[in-house]
Amino acid sequence: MEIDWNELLYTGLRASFVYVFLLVVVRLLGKREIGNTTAFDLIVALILGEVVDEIIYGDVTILQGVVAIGATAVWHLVNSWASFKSRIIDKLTGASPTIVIKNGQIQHKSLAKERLNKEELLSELRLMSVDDIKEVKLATLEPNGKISVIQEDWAKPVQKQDLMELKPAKGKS
Amino acid sequence: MEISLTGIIIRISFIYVYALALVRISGKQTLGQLTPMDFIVTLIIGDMFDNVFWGEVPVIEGVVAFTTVTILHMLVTFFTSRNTSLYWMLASPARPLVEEGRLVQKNLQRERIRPEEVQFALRLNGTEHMREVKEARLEPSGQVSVIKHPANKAIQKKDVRLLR
Repeated sequence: MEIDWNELLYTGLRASFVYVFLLVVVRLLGKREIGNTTAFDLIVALILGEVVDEIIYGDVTILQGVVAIGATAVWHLVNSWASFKSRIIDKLTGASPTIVIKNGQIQHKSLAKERLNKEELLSELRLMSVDDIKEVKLATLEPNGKISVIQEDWAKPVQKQDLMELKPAKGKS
Repeated sequence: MEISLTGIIIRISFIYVYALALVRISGKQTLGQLTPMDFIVTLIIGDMFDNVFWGEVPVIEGVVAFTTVTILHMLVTFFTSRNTSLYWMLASPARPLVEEGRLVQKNLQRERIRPEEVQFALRLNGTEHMREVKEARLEPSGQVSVIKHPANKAIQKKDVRLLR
């Protein structure tokens, strides 16, 4: 097969253009949108990544690519702006956190609602080095699909103030 | 290749709103990447969009494909969340790689993991010595969880009482 050096050059140029254009778009979208704060932000990031390959290989024109990326970005901006302004839209489009462990007790109803197996939850706790469920005051399935853990007071890491309590009296020792 | 710009905008607008609705309905767990399958489904869904954008497939076809994958994954997670033996069929069990400070050779072989890889997982966890480990498991998500012996755990508030 004959190598078309011109076409290779154009591919490189298109890739460079797309890269710079995406940099600008991602910057305009801000951290919140691409920072994977919700499951859908991740999807949008994937979409942007998928759309560019046709532009780079020249399957579509640069203008068409710019319009496609631009339209996706505009929709995502409108979406986050609307859910910031209106509580109703936020409720409709964004998921709310679900408590899955409260005071050491697994909330089986919440697990069923979120279609999460108990073993999956225990696995997530082990990954955070928690092997005793009694240590968990609050575990929450957050809107980005990750599980957060707040430990009971007695299980929290020691802080400086705890050592201050050990001092015999206020005076000099 | 003839693709009208307004066509692109209309298709993207439609599919964006549609995708938002489906992701919302399918729940956060679907895209939480708690298991490898969740991650792959997320990639598949993200990958299906561009063909619709460029009009390579009709919008209706994209909608059907997207809906099918989402519903299938919802069904699978519905049943695996309620039946643990079914869950273990789809997610690889969390087999211990280290038990009581020693490598579990049988499980290393089964999971095709070299001892050096266990060391590397322990280092990432901030653990230098294997003898401190009570149990290290290869979790269904592919990450290694490390539980140390009670004596080697980080100090917790309750431990301050020992000093009193």
